Amino acid sequence: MKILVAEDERISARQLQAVLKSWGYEVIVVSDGLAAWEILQNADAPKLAILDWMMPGKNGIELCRDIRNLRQEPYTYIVLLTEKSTLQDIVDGMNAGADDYLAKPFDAKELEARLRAGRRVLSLMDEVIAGREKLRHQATHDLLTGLANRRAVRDSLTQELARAAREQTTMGVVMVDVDHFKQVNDTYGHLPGDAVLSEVGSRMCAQVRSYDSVGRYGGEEFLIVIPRCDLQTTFDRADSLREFIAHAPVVTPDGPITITASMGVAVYLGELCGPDDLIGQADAALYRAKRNGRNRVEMATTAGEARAEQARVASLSPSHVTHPAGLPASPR
Amino acid sequence: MTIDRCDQLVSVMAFDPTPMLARIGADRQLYGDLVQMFHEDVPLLLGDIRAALASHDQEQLTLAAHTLCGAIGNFTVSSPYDLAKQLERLARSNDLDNALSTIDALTRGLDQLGAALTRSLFQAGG
Repeated sequence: MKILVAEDERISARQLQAVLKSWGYEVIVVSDGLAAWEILQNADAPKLAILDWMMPGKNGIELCRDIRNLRQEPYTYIVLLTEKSTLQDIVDGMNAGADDYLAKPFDAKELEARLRAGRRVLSLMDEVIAGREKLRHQATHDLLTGLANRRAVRDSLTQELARAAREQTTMGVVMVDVDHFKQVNDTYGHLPGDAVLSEVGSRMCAQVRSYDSVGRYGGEEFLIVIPRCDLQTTFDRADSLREFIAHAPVVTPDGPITITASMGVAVYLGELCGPDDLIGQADAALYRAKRNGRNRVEMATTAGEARAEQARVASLSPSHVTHPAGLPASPR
Repeated sequence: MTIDRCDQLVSVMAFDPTPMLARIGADRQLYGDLVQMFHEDVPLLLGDIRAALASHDQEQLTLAAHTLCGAIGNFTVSSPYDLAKQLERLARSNDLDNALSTIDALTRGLDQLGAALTRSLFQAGG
């Protein structure tokens, strides 16, 4: 484990370095507060630090305050090691953010025990953080595909919309629906169906940029948020995705399953609209893609037209919607 | 404790390296290095202290006196550690006249401690 020693007095620093090394620590020694501050700001900074109180540049108390103000995680467990050892000194040191306090000259056994206590605290903190991150992941990701779940991808859309409005840029969304997915489940069963959804998710993730967001919106429906793209670019990217999804059958234990997807594209062009408006437009375009034969991409028209389209689709009884394959009347 | 009294005590004080050796796992090579550092650093710190006194730089005087305390405290918390502590206290209260009067006794005490440390290298088997 790495440990930082900030000590301007060479004899103390050398002793600390020797004993800490003999206990298995990887010791980094600096002789002033500013050098310690440089190291402690790094993401891979040592999680244990022994700081002298009085040092040139920045003293131990200032360092404690700056570290605590800088971040909560990753946590730095700080032991102040100093000759200042009155009750008020100890109170001041702990109030500044130190976790422990040891008077000079240090007793080796006491220092070793206090550092062991510090490691226990850090270990517990690691467990708590790992547990919290696991819960956070579960709350924001779809269990089957590992993609962002509906709420998380909607959050991404909301954030990107706000950014696009702020920066006066455009952004696109793509609503994706796996064609004839009900047939896949009916024909092959739910496990191969799950494999299809998982593979579609993987294929989309493989094709989008690192700052695009892909989420499972529900059932066999996915939502992709594509920042800084105009209508044509969003359409082209969606069409590439469509081709990529269809380029090879999904291999499952029950055999290869040929799949295609239909997509509806909508773009924020600076009009006042919320995430629901944009999703509604993409959804209306997706309906058109389904109606027009599937395995295709359709662009949303204007927001007004999209609303009219949605209303028209909603007003149709299932018998009015035809499908070339004679599959269920609903376009999905 | 008066400065004169400290001076007398140092002159008859036998230095015991046992606590320091216990702290560093009886590493005699390291002990020798630490004593060497003492001999190198103490004159420099005394120089810093004198310079700070000459320029009435209270902050620098306090820091140098504190560092000197730390250096001595590694080996002993008897005199001349007490004198260095006294100097640090005087520096903090900006009592530079009395701080100046401490320097000579402190220097003598450090010389005696330095000699005792050198002798201890042989006692410690170094």
